[in-house]
Amino acid sequence: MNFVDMLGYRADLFLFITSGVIGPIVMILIWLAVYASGGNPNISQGQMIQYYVFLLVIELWNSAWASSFMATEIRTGKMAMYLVKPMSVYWYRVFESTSSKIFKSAYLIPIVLLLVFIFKVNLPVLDFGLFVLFIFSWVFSAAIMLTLDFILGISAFWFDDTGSLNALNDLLYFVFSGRLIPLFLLSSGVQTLANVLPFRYMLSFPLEILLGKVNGMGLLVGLISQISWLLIIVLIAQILWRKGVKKYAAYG
Amino acid sequence: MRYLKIILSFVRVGLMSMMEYRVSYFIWAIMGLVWAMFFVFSAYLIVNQVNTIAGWSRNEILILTSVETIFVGLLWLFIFPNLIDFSELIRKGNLDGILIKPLNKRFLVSIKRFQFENFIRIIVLTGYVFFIMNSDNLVINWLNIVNFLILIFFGLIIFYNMFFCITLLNIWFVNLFNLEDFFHNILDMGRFPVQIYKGLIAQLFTFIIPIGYVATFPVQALLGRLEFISVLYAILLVVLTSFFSHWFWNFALKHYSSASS
Repeated sequence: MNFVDMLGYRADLFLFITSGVIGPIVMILIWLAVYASGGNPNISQGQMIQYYVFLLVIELWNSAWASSFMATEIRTGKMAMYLVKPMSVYWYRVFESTSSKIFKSAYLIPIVLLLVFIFKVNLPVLDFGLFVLFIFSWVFSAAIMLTLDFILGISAFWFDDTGSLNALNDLLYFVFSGRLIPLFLLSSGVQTLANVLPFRYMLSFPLEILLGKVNGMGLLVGLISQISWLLIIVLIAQILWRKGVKKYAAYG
Repeated sequence: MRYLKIILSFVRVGLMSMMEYRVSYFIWAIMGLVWAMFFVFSAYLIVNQVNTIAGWSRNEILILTSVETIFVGLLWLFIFPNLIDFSELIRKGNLDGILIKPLNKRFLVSIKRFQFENFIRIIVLTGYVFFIMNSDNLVINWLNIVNFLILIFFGLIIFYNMFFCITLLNIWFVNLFNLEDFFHNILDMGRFPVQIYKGLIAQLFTFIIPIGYVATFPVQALLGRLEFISVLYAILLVVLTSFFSHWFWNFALKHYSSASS
């Protein structure tokens, strides 16, 4: 999908951005009501709002939606067309989604600025080293998301109905990535589970670095976990891709 | 009536489909339930910090979030699947095939698929609501329950009409991919009492997107705290949205251009 196509999808864009934005904004309003009623979770109101506002930006750039299109292409046989082209399907999808995100950012940035203004959000102050780590962590998180989405897409090589798999992934992501509630507000048992699963490293971890919620040993362990998950998922993707293509080509 | 018989046969088809794809339905049923439980659990985490929020006690908020998931479950039972199918019909230009049938056209595009796996979460969450009310010694009064059901019913009609109109936009904007997500996010706004929204947003939610009818007002009815004006307004909205969606439907049909011609 190139730039020209994107312009034709304006209404869809509007829906997409609005959908993505409502969730975090509603959470902000809910938390504001909690703080106003005297609640005191172990994070300040300012930081809570920062969490959701920056979540919007990070999630936009991490989002991946190619899986359903890929699954359809596999099922209808169109994937065969891409297999003979010199460019890797994976990187094609990455570039395509990146250009789409540039468009979407154009819509999102005014909204984010508006939120920053309305809720008087402060930009977090990070020293240079932490900031660099944050950027790296963000890029890793996007890579994990995109690759996992790719794996979900190519699961169509084996499964007729990828809907349930996608739904399961959506659910786990929603719970364990900190999308609804910051992970560091959950009980320690659940947090341990979240630290072991990859979903934290797709959204929450870069956010935690940005807000200074993780440092020292925790930061180091987290980074190692994130990189490990990235390597594992990329490896799985490569193996599954090769196996899937072999199986797919066998029918052609 | 003919239409009632037709609805019953659609229900039968839905049940038969469930029997045939038992495993798939079971998985979806469980996932729906887990989603609902997660929302209620997160509401629990949030309200645990305080005693009341915007005049609602902790248990009342849990009831409200549960009712929102029940409302969404009902929408998924027999409204969303048909709106999704309707979107597909429009986008693929197959609406003609439906329009020439000898039955009321709007009926045909609105009631067909029943997804019974949603019963699980509706029933479990309803049980949970009664459980909370019991343990909190909240009065369970038949009149309140009837009012509650009436308001849920009104809410379903209002949102069906609104979402139907938005789905009709597919006739002009051929590329609306993710209405499903969009609808969900709108409903998400009803997960907590509408009283937490103040100022400009409160106005928006009263007049433009009446999310109070997703959960807040029905639960107020259940707890015996509903103001009569909310009921009046609900009736007004039912009438307004029904007339508008009917007008819009006819307007849209005139503009519909089929891919096959």
